[in-house]
Amino acid sequence: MIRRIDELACTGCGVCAMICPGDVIEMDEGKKARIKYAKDCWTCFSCELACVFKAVDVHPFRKPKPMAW
Amino acid sequence: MNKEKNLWEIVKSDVLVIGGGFGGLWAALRASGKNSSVTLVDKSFAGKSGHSYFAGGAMMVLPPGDDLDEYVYDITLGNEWLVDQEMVTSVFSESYSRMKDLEAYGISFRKRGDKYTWTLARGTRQVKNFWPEHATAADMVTMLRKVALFRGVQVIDHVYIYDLAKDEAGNIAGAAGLGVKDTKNYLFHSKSVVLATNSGSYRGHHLACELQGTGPFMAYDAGARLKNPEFHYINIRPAKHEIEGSGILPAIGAKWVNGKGVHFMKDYDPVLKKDRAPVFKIVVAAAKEALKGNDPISIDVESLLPEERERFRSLQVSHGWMPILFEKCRREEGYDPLLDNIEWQPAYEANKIGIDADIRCRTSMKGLFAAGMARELGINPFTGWSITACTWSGCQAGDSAAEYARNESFKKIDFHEVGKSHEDFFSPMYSKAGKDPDSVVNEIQKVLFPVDALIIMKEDKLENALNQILEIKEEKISELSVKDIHNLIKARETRTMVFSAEITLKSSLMRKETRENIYYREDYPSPDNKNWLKWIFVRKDADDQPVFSTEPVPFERYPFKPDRT
Repeated sequence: MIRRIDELACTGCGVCAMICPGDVIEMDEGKKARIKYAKDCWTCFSCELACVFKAVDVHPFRKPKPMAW
Repeated sequence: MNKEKNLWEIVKSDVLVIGGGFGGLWAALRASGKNSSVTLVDKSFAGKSGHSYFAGGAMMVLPPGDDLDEYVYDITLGNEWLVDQEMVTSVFSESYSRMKDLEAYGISFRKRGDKYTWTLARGTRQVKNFWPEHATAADMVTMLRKVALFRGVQVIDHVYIYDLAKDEAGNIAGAAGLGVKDTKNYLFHSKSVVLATNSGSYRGHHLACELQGTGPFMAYDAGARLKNPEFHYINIRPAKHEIEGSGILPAIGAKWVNGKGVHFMKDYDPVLKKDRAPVFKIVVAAAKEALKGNDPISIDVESLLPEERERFRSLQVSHGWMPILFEKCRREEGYDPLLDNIEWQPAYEANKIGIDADIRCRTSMKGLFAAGMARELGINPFTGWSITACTWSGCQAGDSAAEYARNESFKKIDFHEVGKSHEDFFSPMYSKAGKDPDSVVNEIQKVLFPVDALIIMKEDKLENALNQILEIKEEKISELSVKDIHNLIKARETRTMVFSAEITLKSSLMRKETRENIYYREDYPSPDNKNWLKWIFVRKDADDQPVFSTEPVPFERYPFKPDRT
């Protein structure tokens, strides 16, 4: 699940918010990327991989869900 | 009337395509090549948003010289006779040309010298999978987006479509949507529509399960017929995180292991594939082990040899996130997913329910065409089938939709009806009842995810699950209330999920048999070829209730016929 966007490293280019499949990230008044709906993160790493400024950090575990057993 | 019209940002084109995966992008490409203006709309970013982007990249292809009949037979057997053999024939007849198209767009496929290399598709005797070289399915759909833009397709990202629009005669004439980022009300006015979304899921334990394809349900609402509601695709995945290439691990020698350290698959599929059995069989075997108290279930990577591990790394198709994930598991969680055994769990990947369509991807609704997972494409989720079948259906639907549009004029949209569905969609914004979508989704998951709901099925358990789902439908869905657009969309997805669960459970109660690799009813443990070589269909009646019907598989038209005794 997405855990952090480094405000200092973020240049506000908006790529992470544009490609996130879960609409998790929003642009803060057009300046910085901000995590808005962390619990809807797919844990797909698209944002972390797309960020050339290495501002995004995704933890490998997804949100816990009911198990089959 | 003007007041109703003023609500909307109207986008007009001959053909509207909904969904930006393999099905939608191919449909848009094909339609744009036929002198039609084409708009493609996606709820996220077309080419990066759906199941396609996260697929492994294998593509089933019939190369020149191979026998088409053998391929059709293998896929028919893998679907245990419940597949449209005419569709399978058409899919393979065109598969090599599509691979060549992709090469022309810049995607190369693995070769040794000047000969293609391939792998045998799991669960088949003959069918070949071809793999993109230095690329993944993600690169393939990204490329298709570029080609679509180059061909003049108008791509509109970040618009969530919630309903189909009709003309005053009741034919499909477009779709209504909401801008996810710009919050505008969009009305797409078109002569024909290709629905190419995913089929949907219950947000299970796999990243692509987060998808909520609402396409089939929009089609159902509009009056179209859906097929195969009783089937779903359940994979098996690590319980806490994702891993790509899980099918490769058994192929290189890893065995499924239970909590007592026993490699259990030999007891469930002793003669044939053992640990390489089709995924459904592994899920059912793992479930039985868990019910016996032998959980947790893992794939035994600890006993892999170093060279086998290296072979996995060399074969595995990586999206780039795998190395990051592995590194973070090592650094922060203290284990390596390729060195240490971790718990695996069933993952509800996608419904198999799809819009019923002919082999030109025409539906029962005039002006509506279906592609990708929104269309019924068979049941068995063979590796390599999805990309090939979604590609095929996109091409058929794109061609058919463009041809239809060429012979039609723009019809007047029924603004009164669209206005009603807009009001209905927005109703959770004005509700003060206070149920948030996440809590309802969690309740649905608690009903459907236990092993004895949809994996090991049995009449009393199915009825119990159905009653709980109907209770959620009656008591919770009308009480959904949200404060923003993001959650408004989730509210609609939640409603779709409840509907999907209802028709899945009702139709699972109907099919009283077991089919080894696709469907397991504990109380009816054998296939029933006498009574159940049939498909189940569902459509909406005048009172908005689902009505089920069955039709025998038309073997009289097909090359291969089963033993009916």
